[in-house]
This record gives sequence, structure tokens and C-alpha cells, in this order.
Amino acid sequence: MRTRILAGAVAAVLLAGGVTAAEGNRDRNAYFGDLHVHTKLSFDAYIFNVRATPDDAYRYARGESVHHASGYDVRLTDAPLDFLAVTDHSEYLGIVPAMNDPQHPLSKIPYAPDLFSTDPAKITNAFQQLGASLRSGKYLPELKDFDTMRSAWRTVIDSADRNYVPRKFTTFRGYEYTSAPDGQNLHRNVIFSGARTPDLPFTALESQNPEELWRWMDGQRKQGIEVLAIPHNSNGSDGRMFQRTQFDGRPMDRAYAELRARNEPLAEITQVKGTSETHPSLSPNDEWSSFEIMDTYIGSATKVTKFAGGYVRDALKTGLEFDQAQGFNPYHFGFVGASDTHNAAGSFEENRYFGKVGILDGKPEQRGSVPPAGKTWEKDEPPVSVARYQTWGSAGLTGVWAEENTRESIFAALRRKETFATSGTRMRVRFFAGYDLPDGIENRRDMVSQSYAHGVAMGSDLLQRGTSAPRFLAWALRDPHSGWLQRVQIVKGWIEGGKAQERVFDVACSDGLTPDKTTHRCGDNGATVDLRTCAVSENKGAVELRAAWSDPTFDPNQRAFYYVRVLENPSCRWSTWDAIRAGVEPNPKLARTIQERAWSSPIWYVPQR
Amino acid sequence: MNFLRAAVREPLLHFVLIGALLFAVTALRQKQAEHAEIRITAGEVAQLAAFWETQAQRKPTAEELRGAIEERIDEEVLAREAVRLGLDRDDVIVRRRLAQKMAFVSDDLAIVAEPSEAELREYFDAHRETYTTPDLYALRHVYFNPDRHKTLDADAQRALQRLSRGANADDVGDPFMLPRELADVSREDIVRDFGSSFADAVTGSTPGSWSGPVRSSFGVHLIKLESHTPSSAARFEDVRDNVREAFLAQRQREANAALRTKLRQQYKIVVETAEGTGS
Repeated sequence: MRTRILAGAVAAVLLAGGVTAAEGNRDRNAYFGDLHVHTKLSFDAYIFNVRATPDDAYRYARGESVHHASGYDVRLTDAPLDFLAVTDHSEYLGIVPAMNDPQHPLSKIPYAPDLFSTDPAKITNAFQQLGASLRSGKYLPELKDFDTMRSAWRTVIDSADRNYVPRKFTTFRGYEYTSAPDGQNLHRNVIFSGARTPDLPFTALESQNPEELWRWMDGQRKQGIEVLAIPHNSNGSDGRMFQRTQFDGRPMDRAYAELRARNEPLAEITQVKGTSETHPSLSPNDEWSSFEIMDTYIGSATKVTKFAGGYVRDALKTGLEFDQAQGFNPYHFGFVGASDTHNAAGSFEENRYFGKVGILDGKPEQRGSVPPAGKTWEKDEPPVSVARYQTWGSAGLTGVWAEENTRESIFAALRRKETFATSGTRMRVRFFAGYDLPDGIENRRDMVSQSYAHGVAMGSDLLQRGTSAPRFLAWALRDPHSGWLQRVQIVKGWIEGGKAQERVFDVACSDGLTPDKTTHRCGDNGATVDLRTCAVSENKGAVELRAAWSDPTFDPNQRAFYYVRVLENPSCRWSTWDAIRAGVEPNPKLARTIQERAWSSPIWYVPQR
Repeated sequence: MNFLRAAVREPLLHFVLIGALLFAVTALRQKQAEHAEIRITAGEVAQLAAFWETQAQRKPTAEELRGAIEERIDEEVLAREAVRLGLDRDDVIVRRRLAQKMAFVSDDLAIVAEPSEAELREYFDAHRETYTTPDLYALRHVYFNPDRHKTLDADAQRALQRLSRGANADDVGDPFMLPRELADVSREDIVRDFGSSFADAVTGSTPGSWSGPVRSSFGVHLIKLESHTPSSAARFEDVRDNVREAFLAQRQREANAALRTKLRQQYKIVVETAEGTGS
């Protein structure tokens, strides 16, 4: 053992915490990051008065403070992030800042001054030009300035490369593909593996059809440029992100499913604009399905009407049905979480929430957590924008299991879906399945190396082995800066009679409780929150929870997926913290507490045909 | 004489003379321009049609497209004449745009020569502070989960005695999700994962023997410092790639600046200030 440590010590020069050898930790470490961050180069962020640059985004991620558009500084107080990608909107990348530069020709466009005027009506009007262009997918010819976009893209990728410190802090070159046909959100973040990228991004103004994006990505791959896309805010797609047909309504086929799976191994399931795991109408038997739900289109008050096709659990089930009936699965993806901040700085902590859209929600009165001066909750009907911002949650995070903190290692983890999403907490979650995981594995100090040797990790397929039932290992460790763990659950989806079903099983409980044999629920651990101070119960909840679990409903012939969800004890929502600080009653329309959580990527059980 | 003097001061005459001169120049240029071609390519016509469609939300009719083409020809003719007459020269927008385009096409194009080892070492010596590593620690620890021990401290003490008698650390303590051995971590790294009292215990202990129990954010640990590498300037060999990158970046910046200087040398530059003229 000593030799191993010394070998590591000699070979490695600058290793991040938790690394045991030069080639990294074979048991893999959890690294936390955000792959969805906007800066002033995004057309909307600039209009929100954000002036922070990609370099600022990386400085913030590493623990330095950056300036918020609403006039204060923000900083990650608990710990820096391990990795980050700046993903500015590729459409009109860098164009709006140029329109504000009096020496730039774009500033001579008639409506340019309106974008930066002090009259909100004028701003809104001018902004609508850009919004309409994105909804229609057509360039505004006067803003089609590829030189300016190319130079902004170079700023983005140069900043990513300059801020990359292998084994300490990883950055990725990336951008957001902002497709929203008729306002239905089909946005994707496009993440490149290394220091080679095309001259310009493929944008939604080239095509709103994501299939064209994937074909372009295939083309990049042929040139040796590795890249993946991560869809987000399926909750704002009105059922379109994970629909049952191709983009143009034609039936799906194997080629489509493979094209999609090859390019989209992951989906972002939580961020400020709501959580897309599932919706109460889709999962009526899941008591935790109403977490940070956003039920409108992106950037508008239009209500979502179709929830099926907009949430990932439903999509995974759709995938099972396709696989069962037709032998291909378009929705075979893992989970990540993100901020989607437009401040170059993610707001992950409930007790220090500062919003995500610059001067629009940088103050409590603008986001519905504190009533405007002279108003009360009873009398005041908030403006549409406030009504929207108050439903937003604090930012999520991506966890990856990787050997070391480098582009190669983290990108490989993203590719193989060994990822988990969190609501912003940095709890760590492991999930394995296998037929030969030894008895009592959950109590072994070498359970991780045993699991890799005898099973598969989150994000993988487990192929049928006769009539054997697999054993699952679920393990969670709390974030010392966040709450205590309340329960570990396994969410199962399966095919029965050609139809996909779902069920949530509690598999590990805190405070000496055990899951009930018939309801599969932990008893109440009695954890409470004092709503006057946000203080939480002492001595309730666990530092870590682990369980080896066998599915009591397992049928070797039923196609299935399993993923882990871990819940912390309840704690104050950001809006409650805002209200307490301001000395007012929390907004009665909003949840006062939340349960921070993490979701592992699924493991699929694949029966033989 | 008086008549001549008056004529010289006569604005109308100025106007006539300047007009005649402009006419002469234009006529001369026009002669030269007789063979200059204005060609609107098929690709450009398609683009005009596309622009039209974007704004009108439908395809242009043949007549509308002809109109767009005529407009495009007018634009080209006027633009070329404006350049002929030097009207681009005093326009800040045109100038900025051209400068921007030139900077865009010229910057970072100079091929920077691969530096020699001597140059890299010299750069490294001049920037030593950039390459200093913090104090680094290698350690082992075993973990005790407070939820799983009724007699936590006593259990940890017993385990400490076993370890001190040579028990294998792999056989002691509870499972733990973070690595049980850490190599080359800074104090900052340790604080981040385990909290500051754990970090204090590590940095304050002497290498080679087990000690504890110490508290972390997760529970109780026994620790053994394996090695401590004091803060040091990195060895050149270990950071050569970083040095090379920084060196090349600096060279590139210098090359860009040199290009501008070289371009400047093709001009006599005069700056007039309130105090006088300097060059």
C-alpha cells in the first residue's frame, strides 16, 4: 500500500483532493460542476444588464467573487466547483454587446438604441425582434454578422482553454443551441471534449430541427472532434422534447434512435427554470413529484398543456415501450443538473439565492419572495414576470464519477452516463447492479471495487442472465454544507402488457427506520424546520445511507430501468430565506420548504429477445 | 489687381472651380471605370430572395425580386463611387469596421517559432512564483460513522490501538465513500472535503504513525500522515508544458504587437495636440 502511495506521490505533481495515483482513482471520485452558464455574450444576458465575461464565470466557479448586475458581488461560499462549461446562446453570439458599442456598425441598426434605453417598453419591443427570430428560426438579416459571431466564439473557447487546470479545475468548450419552434423549448447544450472545435457553432438559425444538429455533430466526429448535446427544460417543451415521433411528425425508426442516442447520452433534469424529473399528473403515486415544477413555456406566461413528453421519467418509459415493440430506444440517457445562470454565476444555495436573469430577478421584490413596498400578500396580484420568477428554484449541479479531474476523464464519464444530478446540494450518490455482488456488500469497505468488478455502474445496461435477479447497491453521502439525509429511493419503470409502469421504492431510511414491506415507504423521521429562523432539527437524518436491494417485483422477462433518488430532510426554500431576511411573511402561494435531492443516472435491465 | 484679389475671395468662383475639378476627376475616373464590371452572382440573388422572405414571411414575386436586385445594384454603384471619391475616409464607422476586419485577419497568424529549451528555462526563471506548489500531504485515514456506533470514541480508540500494533488499515473502520488514502493534497483540498479541524490534525501530525480520533464533517477518523512535501518551486521538467504554453502565448502577443509596429512604420504618424505638433 505504501508503494502505491509513494508511486502516486512521485508521478503526480498537482493532484486534486481524493486522488490516489497518477492515472487517477480506479474507484473514481465524485466531481461537481455546471455545464450550463451564460455570460454577457448571450443576447438575452446582455439585455439583462449582465456584463460578466466567460473568464468571470470561471473565476466564480473557482471561488472568486464576481459582480452581479443588480449591484452586489456574489461568491460560492461553501466550496468551489470542479468543472464548468460556459454555454452562451450561439444565436447572435456576441451580437448584442456589439450593438451597444457605438463604434460598431451594428449599433447603427435603428432599434439598437432601444435595447439599451431606460424605457422597459422599448427594451421589450426591441427584444421581441430577437425573440421572434428565435421562435421562427430565421435570421434577422441585419444581425447576420458572422465576423462578430466568430470573434465572440473565439472569446468563449479561448477562455475555456485558458482556465483549464488539469487535475484541479476542468473547463469545456461549449455553447447552447437555442431551438424553440413556436416557443416550444428544444434547447440543447453542446459540449466539446477537447481543444478542437469548428469555426462557428451550428445554431437554431441554421435549423430548428435537432436532427440537423446531430447530423452536424456526426460530421464533427468524422473530423475527429468529439462532442455531445444535452437537452434541457423539457418541462417547457409542451411535450415535444421527448415526443413519440421525429421532429417533423414521421414515425421514429432505428436510424433516428441511434442518431439521437449517439449524440445525446444525457438530459439536464433540474435547473433554475424548474425540475423535469416528473410531474404530479404523470406520477400520481409519487409523493415527491411536485418538486420545483415550472408549468409555463420558457420566457412567457403560456401554460404547458402536455406533460407527457416533457419529463424524463416519462421519456425513459417511452423508451422502454419503443424498445419492447420495435427493438430500439430513442430515450436511453443519463441525468445531469445545472444552473442555466445568465449571471455567469450559478445560484446553488437556498440561503443566498440571487436569481438567474440579471436585473430582472436580482432583488427579492422582483422574484415574489418579498411583497413590493406598501403591498401585502393578500392584496397584491404580482406582475406576470414576478409570478414566473417566484416559481423558479435554486440552481442544480452535475456530479460525475471520474478517475481524475481532467477533460478526458470527465468527458468519458459524461459519455458513459456515470453521472448524477442534484438540486444544488453536493451529496454523493453511487449506484451499481449485478448478479454477483457478494452478500453483505453494503458493509464492505471495498464495496466500490467489488461493485465495479462484479456489476455495472449507473448509466449502464445490465443484460439478462437466465432467471437470476440482480442485486442493487445504492449509497449516498451527505454534503456537509447541506442537510442530513432522510431516505434513499429506487425509482423503477418497467413494461407490463406492452405498457410502461412506474413505482418508487424506499430502500434505506435514516434514524433507524426501515421501509414498510408493503408500502415500501420509510416511516416519518420527524425532521422539522422552524419557519421563523429556518433552523432544522438537530439529530435527525443521516450522514450516509446505503442499502443492498433486490427488486421484490422483479420479473426476468420484463424490460426495466432503475434510478436512485436521495432526499435530504426538509429545509427552507430560497423564498422563505428571502422573507425572513426582509422580516416579512413568506409568500403564501409558494412552498415554504423543499427537500434537496439527488438523482442517479438509470441502470437498464435488458431481457433477451 | 483689385479685380483679381476680389475674384480670389469670391465664393461663387470657388464653387465653380471646385465643381469643375470634381467634374474633371469624375469624368476621368468614369473613363477608367467604363470596363469595371458589376456582377450580381446567382448565389447573391438567392441570398437577396432569402432576405426578402425573412422580412416578408413569403417568397418574393419575380417583380419584387427584380426590385431587390435593382436596389442591390444601386447600392454597389453608390458604394464604389463613394470609395472612388474617398468618402469612406472620414467615416468613423467604416474605419472601425475595416480596422476590426484587418485585426481579425492579421492577429494570431504569425507563426511563432518553437522555443528552445534555454528560452523556456529563462522564461521559467523569470516567472517562478507562478509555478510554486503549496505544501502537499499524503495520508491515510479510517472512518467511523456516528450513526453506526453507540460507543463511537471507545470504538475509535480500540481501533487506534490495533493500527498502532500493525493492523492493516483496510480491515479497520467503516466503509467510506471518499478515498481512504489521499496523495498530494493541499490543506485547501483537505478543508474542502473534511473540514478544518481534520485538516489541522493532518498538518500538525508527524509522519509515520496513527493518531486520532479527529472529527470531520462526516464523523470521526483516525489518521496517519504518510508524507509531507513542503511548498516548493516546481521543477522545470514537471511544468515544461505549461511554461511552453505561457511562453508561446506571450510570443503571440508580441508578434501581434510587432505586426502593428511594422505597419506603423509604413506611415509617417503625426499627432497634433493643443500644445503643438508632434510626430
